[in-house]
Amino acid sequence: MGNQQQKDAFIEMLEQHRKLLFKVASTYAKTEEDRKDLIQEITLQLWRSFNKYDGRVKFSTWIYRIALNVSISSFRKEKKRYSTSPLKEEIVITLKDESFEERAEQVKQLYTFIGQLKVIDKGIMLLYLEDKSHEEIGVILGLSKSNVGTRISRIKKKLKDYFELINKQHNV
Amino acid sequence: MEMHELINVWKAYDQKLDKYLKVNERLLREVSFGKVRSLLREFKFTQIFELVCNALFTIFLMGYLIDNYAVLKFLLPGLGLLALMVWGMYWNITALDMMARTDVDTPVIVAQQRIEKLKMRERIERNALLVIIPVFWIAFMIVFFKGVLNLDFYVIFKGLIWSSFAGSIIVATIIVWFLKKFPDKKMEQAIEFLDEIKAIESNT
Repeated sequence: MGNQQQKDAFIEMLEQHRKLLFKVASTYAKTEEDRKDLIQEITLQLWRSFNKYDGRVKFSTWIYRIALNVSISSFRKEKKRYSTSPLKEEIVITLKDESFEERAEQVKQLYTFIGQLKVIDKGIMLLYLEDKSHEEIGVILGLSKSNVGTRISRIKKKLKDYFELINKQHNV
Repeated sequence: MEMHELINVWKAYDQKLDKYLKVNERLLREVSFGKVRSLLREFKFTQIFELVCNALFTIFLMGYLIDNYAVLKFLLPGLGLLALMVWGMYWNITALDMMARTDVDTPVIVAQQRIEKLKMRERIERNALLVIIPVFWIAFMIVFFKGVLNLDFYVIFKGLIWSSFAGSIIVATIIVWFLKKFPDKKMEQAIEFLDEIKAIESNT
């Protein structure tokens, strides 16, 4: 595949999976600026690995793995070092309308809840919300199906407690 | 709120994003992706550089040991340094092997576990050097004087050698105490994260 063709295919792939990248980055970014940086970093790593995709796992599984690995590594890094990024001046994935209120109140609460989870559990919760099967979550993360099931049950329990607390606070 | 309700909220959010998110195609077409930094590239170069240095010094040590195998006072420091180099090379090779098997598209738990183990090893190595340097510097000087300058360090620094050795042991002991008293925060975080992964894997 020529360089131009490869770029076209890559852009098409980004178009198709832009929401995925945006949501993974939103899950792990601590600030708006972090999210932008993280999307750039994920895009670069996707480009770096683009030719290496061998079809052993589903394409979306492969993208999730890269996006989550980059996000978790970035999340655990104290100091961000994206200075080598050739994309730093502009943003790869943007909102068409800056004034658009991206998150409804419930989505904000959901992100707040995810923000309180442990690093790996954040990924599990996101994949669960994305309607991935236990099996696919297991393949993305490298866990058994039953293990994923157990983790999800625990997260659900935490989620229930969290929303009960929120409701109590609202009622007071 | 129940889980199924949240999934519906999430789906609505997804649809909203579908409408509002766009890819900056112009930027992607203009930009050159040539210099993409790998997550582990920097660490890899360090390991390769160390491996080459250790290998070169090992070759030098082998020659030194062949020349001085009959004299115990020269043989022992050489053997000590050789053991250190072998350990160092084993450390470098296993780290490089771990890096070769880890890419950004490796399953998340596996990749994160390896990255964290590598980071932890790097810090262990850094801390170990603080102890190794004072403990081995006299052995190094003996080998250097004999192997490179053909001089007897024991004769030149007669009277100082044992007191220097005792001093270096004291320094190393103080460093060990200091490292234990003020543990490395990043190392503790790495251990904590590895424990978290282990707990997930074992379902506890």
